[in-house]
Amino acid sequence: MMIELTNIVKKFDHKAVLNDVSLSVGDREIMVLLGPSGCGKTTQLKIIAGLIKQNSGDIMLNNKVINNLPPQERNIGFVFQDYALFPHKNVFENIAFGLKIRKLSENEINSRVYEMMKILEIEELEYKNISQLSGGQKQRIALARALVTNPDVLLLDEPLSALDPVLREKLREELKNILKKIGITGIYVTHDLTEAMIVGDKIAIMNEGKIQQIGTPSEVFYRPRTEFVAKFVGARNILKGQVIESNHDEVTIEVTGGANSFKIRALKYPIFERKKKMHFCIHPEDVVLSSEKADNSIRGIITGIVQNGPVIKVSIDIGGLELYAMVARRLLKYEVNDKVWVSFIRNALHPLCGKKCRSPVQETPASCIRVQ
Amino acid sequence: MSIHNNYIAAGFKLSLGISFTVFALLIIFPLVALVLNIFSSPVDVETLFSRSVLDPLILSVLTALISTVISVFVGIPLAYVLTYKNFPLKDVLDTMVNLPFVLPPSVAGYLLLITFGKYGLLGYPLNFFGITIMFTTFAIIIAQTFVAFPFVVRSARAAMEEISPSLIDAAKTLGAREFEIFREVIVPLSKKGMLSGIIMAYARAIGEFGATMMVCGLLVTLPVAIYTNALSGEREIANVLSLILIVISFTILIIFKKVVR
Repeated sequence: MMIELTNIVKKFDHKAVLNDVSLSVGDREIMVLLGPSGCGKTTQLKIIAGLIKQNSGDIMLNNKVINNLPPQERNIGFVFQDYALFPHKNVFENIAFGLKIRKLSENEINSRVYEMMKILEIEELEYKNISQLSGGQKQRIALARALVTNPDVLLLDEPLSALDPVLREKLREELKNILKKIGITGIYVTHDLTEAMIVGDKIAIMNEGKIQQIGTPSEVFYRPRTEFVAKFVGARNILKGQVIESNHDEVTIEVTGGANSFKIRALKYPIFERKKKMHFCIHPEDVVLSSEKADNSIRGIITGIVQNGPVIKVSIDIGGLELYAMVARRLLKYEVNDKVWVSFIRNALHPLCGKKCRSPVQETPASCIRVQ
Repeated sequence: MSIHNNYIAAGFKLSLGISFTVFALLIIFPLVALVLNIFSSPVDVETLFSRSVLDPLILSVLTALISTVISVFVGIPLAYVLTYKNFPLKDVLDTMVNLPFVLPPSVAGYLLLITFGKYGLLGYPLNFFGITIMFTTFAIIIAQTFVAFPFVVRSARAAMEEISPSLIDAAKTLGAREFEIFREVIVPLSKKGMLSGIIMAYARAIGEFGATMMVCGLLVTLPVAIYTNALSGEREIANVLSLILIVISFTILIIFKKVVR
């Protein structure tokens, strides 16, 4: 089942929460809406489900416009952030709710509920009250309740956000496997990049009511098109500069923005033309620190060292320009105020060419993709 | 610093003492006075089961029951509409629902007189068809409902507002229509609030005096009977009726506490 949103606009008190959003999700594809809190992700889900009416734009389910259908007639499942399980009903009654409303026979209801409980491995919870369940169990019940009615599309609004980090890490892969096993078209909202990359076949990155970029997880991670996307996926080193030399497969770029400019060599993208001024991004893990001068390196001073999970985040000042590097803990041999040589792996530099694209729904332009 | 703290502690204890004294003056002393009155003017069994005691008791218990049932049918839909619907002049309707809380009972009685009286807005056409409301049991029920139904609305609405909107949304996405959501989600989750509203409405209805006094005519409810007996010097009967009303009210409040808990 395919779902498509075209030019959706939603305003609350004259303020646009969704601003001309277009999105297409293919059959059995999981699209993740990724973005900071308040960027319009949940509003978008509620509009798709029919719980909120958009000001303009169309929602199409298998090429049929469903704008005027009430939520009861859309056959779209919804897993809510707080699970929204009915506290006065037990696990079985919660899962069976949608089937009972559809007035199915008792045998049919029993067989479908038990089948779904088996898929989600929650058979032993059948008669438990909702208040007796853990967060992970509630999440499964909510998923079972949404799936048991065989919806055409499943919407999941931050379904793991209420769980502790350990459980979240375990469940996000399980959730992906369940969704793939059932083979459903899904739209999944999260603000967690790792979760988005694991669960999504495609990711749409949103900011301030607009989709900034849509692509596969590796596309948005390695080829961010705007400064916002670059920062959101962790490519925090945003540089501006000018191409001053260009040959067959390599360019030299003069990076400005600090007190002194410096030159770096990078692999060539088709968009790199001589004298062209551009913004670039570099993932911190592609920044290499060394004590000795290497080819294509610049001198810098370490200004900060912060433990960031299994890696260390190092900030380096290069002539007034701040760069970040991610270094494995056991490889870090520097301290704050140490002078280091900073170089970049050969394919680290990526151009941010979002402004050249007419519509954010478009794929990354060919000029921004480097021929391998 | 410690002297200052001592003054605060002493002031706090003094204010607690004053509060308890005022409470005693308002509640405990009148109850003690009633018990002393009952012992000083004992009532015989014949009087206890006389029509002057039983008639007002039965009339009050039954009319309060009927007006409570009507309050449920009026109050719960109103609570639902005020909680879940948006419409022009919603604030005005909300205020009108709460009006009986603040209106003097005499005003309520007068409004009923000019509405249902022989020449009233509705009373006149009804009278044309031979239907008389004023000074009948119906008038008592209307007066009691007038003051009782806001309790159902307020309590049910507070309970409905406690229900998470995502539960309503979840029911919608699972295919439930408005009435199914009301039956399957809203009523079960707000029944405690509804029940406490119903109990308070009954308590208010059975104790209603001011408005009933103006519309009951020759019929006498418990509160009206207490008033007329006290004024005419029939203290034995006034004592018994007061005690009955206090016991009923106390029992209702105990049930209310159990329900709320």
